[in-house]
Amino acid sequence: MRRLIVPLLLFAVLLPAAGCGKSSKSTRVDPIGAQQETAAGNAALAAGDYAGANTHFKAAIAKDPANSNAQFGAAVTEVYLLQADPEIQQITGVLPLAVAPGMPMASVRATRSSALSQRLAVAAAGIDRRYAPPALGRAFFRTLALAADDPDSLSDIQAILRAKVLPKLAYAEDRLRTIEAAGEFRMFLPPSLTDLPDTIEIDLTEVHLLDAVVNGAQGFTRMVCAYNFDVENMDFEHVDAESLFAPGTAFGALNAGGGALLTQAKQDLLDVGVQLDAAATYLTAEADDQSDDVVPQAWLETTEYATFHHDVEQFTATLNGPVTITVDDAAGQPMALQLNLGRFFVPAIADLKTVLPAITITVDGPDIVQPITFGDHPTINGIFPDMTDARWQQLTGLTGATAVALRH
Amino acid sequence: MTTHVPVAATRRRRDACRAAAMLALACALAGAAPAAAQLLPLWSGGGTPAAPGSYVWHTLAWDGGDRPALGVAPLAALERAPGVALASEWSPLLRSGDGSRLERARQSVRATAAAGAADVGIEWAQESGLARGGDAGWAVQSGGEAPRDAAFGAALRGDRGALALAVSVAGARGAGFGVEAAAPLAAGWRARARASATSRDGRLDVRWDDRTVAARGAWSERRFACAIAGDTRAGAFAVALDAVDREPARSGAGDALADRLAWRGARADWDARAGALRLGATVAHGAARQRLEVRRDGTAYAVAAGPATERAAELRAGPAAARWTARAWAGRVTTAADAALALWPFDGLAGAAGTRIAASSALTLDHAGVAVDGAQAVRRGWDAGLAAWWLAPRGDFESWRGVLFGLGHDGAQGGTLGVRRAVLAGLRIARTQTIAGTPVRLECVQWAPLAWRRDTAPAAAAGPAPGPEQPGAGGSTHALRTWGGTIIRVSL
Repeated sequence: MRRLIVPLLLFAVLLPAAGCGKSSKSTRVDPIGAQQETAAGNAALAAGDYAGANTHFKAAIAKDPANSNAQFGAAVTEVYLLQADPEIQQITGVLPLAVAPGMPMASVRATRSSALSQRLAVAAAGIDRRYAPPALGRAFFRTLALAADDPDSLSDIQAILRAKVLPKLAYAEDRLRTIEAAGEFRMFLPPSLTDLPDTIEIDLTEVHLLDAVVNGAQGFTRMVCAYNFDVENMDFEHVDAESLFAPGTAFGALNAGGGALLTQAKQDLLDVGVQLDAAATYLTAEADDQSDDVVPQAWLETTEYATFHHDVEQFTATLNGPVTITVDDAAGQPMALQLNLGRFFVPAIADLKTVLPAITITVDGPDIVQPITFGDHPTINGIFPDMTDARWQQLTGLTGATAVALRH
Repeated sequence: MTTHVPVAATRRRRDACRAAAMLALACALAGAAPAAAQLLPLWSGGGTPAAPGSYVWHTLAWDGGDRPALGVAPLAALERAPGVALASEWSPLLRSGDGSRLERARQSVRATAAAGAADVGIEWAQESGLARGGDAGWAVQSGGEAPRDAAFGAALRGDRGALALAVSVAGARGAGFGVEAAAPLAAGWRARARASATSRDGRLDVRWDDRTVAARGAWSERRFACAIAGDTRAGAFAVALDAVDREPARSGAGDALADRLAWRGARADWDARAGALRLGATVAHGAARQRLEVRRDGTAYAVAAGPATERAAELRAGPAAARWTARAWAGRVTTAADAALALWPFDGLAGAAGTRIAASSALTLDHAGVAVDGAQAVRRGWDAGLAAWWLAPRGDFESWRGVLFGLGHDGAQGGTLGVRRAVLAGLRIARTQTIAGTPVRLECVQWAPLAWRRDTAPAAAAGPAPGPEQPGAGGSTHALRTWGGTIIRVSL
């Protein structure tokens, strides 16, 4: 999941801005002018002038919205313009879900890491499949961990995601849907544009795949933005942990409109599988020479695709209802449990603090009371329908006996 | 085509990007020297005659004796006196402590006899080559096989010309043929032409950490050469053209190597006597385009392609009454290659995003040299040669991650060739001895660096940027555990 989330977030933060896609009010369509602008955009792209190319592609769209090449070009060029955005780059390095495997979080945050986040990290570490449904559990725990450790950072990230990323993702989604609606799309990118040895072909397969990625990014981004992690005292070093986790505080509560965001997020994530299947269907039906296809039919025969597709399929299944998965418990033994990821989104959890296990505040910050107990909500809003406190203890190993070992 | 695709991976997804970059770079390197296919690339079946006639390789090999393969040039191969000839060569050109190797070995046995009006011959040959680079983290290797060829040929000679045919068999790779004809055109002028089609194969192994990709490939190689030579009062002239075309065989399931090459070369020679001197000159030019692919189930996922050119000029002079000749030469080889590696065979998500690892390389080699060479002893005696060869390679590479269908450059890295200039000294020494009526010849060639100058910072991020030169001609001399430049030939 982490490997999935990273590129999804990268896509999310790099996709074009909705603000740049202000639709033209003109009813006059100028296909020739649009083609000229597209050609000028390609020339600028070949010269490495992404800003110039972006301007030309948008001008082409304004002249002829049906120009799919221009729509595609506008979307792609904005990616590179955004790559240099320091705020966007910072997100990819801060959000734990976006941290690549083996890449530690910044040391300053590591030193702040509370006992609670360490517990959550231990729980998350037992879940190790890239796109598998249990990985959402990892995402859940890690998000909470960051929220507990560095609420101001997560709050800043949310602001960037709301202001920049979500609108741009929506814009990209609109462009891709426009291309898909046209029913046929084929674009050839010569070596002069790509510096690759050969001309490559992009068709609806790639559009659907990109759409799947955008949908995943939208779902994740909306999920992250749904909850409030603001604290009144922005100097985190002096934030009182009790003030964060005390019942009734705004920290961890659903933002205004957060429920709608989560509902949309669930649909976005479901659309990932829909778009992936559409891509596979289109790719299978392709009858042309595959040698220049960016994603050729041979991809469908690889074990990498099989794994990717299976994981997405299982992920989708868990969004639609409880499925039984197997994870390793604290003793390393396989443990079957039910998972219903859809219950994370709908109905939304009003306050994340209420689904946490019993917490105590120590000198190191908040920590889980051992043995771990969830009171009357061990299923966490029904996400884990068959979980009990005993099974949580089996899964996490937080039975009290290992408290010292875990702490150190 | 033989296909084989062991992709051994215990940590299948780890370091996919770095691995892919290595593979892309390896492909770029492999494709970087298509003309001088002997220098870096798919060393399938050894350098010559499988590879085109590069002047650089000819100089390095110091191979004065023309030993055409029976299956490729049957008329020339059957021009020798009837009997049995054995030839063996071992050329460890580079053996480095980091595992890099550049090596060639070949052996052949040929028996010729007169059968009525025809000369007939049979030849068995084995060639192997190895080009390997990289350290413990990653490595690229091409060649490594020792294909065996058998050929049978017959030649008819008459006043109006000569014609020879040969059939070659290369094991499971299939059969080939060669035809060669020579005829007088006018007084003092002769023409010769030959054409051949043979089957070759090779392999490319790329390893990074615990992941290995091994691709085998087979291809047909078609050669055509023609020459016109004549004697005039101004001396002897010869003009020759040659062409080599490789076409990959159809690939089946799994990973397969596909090598495609088109080489066109031209050469002109002039030799004359001017008083007490023998004079000569040669100019040569060649151009090639090579494309190397690694395919999975018929679809290419790694591609390296690029052009190459080579040109050289040589002057020769020596006393007419003496057995030695002095020569001086200069030349330039230029190659360039663009390479791309699609990630869909390695990573599901990167594959879906159309991500490519791309690399680009360019190499120019300027060289010049002087040599004094003694004529080969016929039945008994020593002969030797001495050469100094100045080489100035200039090269750079760049690699990047082509994200979003290859349109964007991400994580660009670049570097330049570490060596800027080198001076090599070459010594050839040979002894011919007749044993039991059979002349036996042992020849050794040794090249050794006299001086070279390196870049102190051969690799730089985001673009080629040569580092400062080291002062003095000597530069760094870190040749620890590295040796080579050796060619040993035995023939009888």
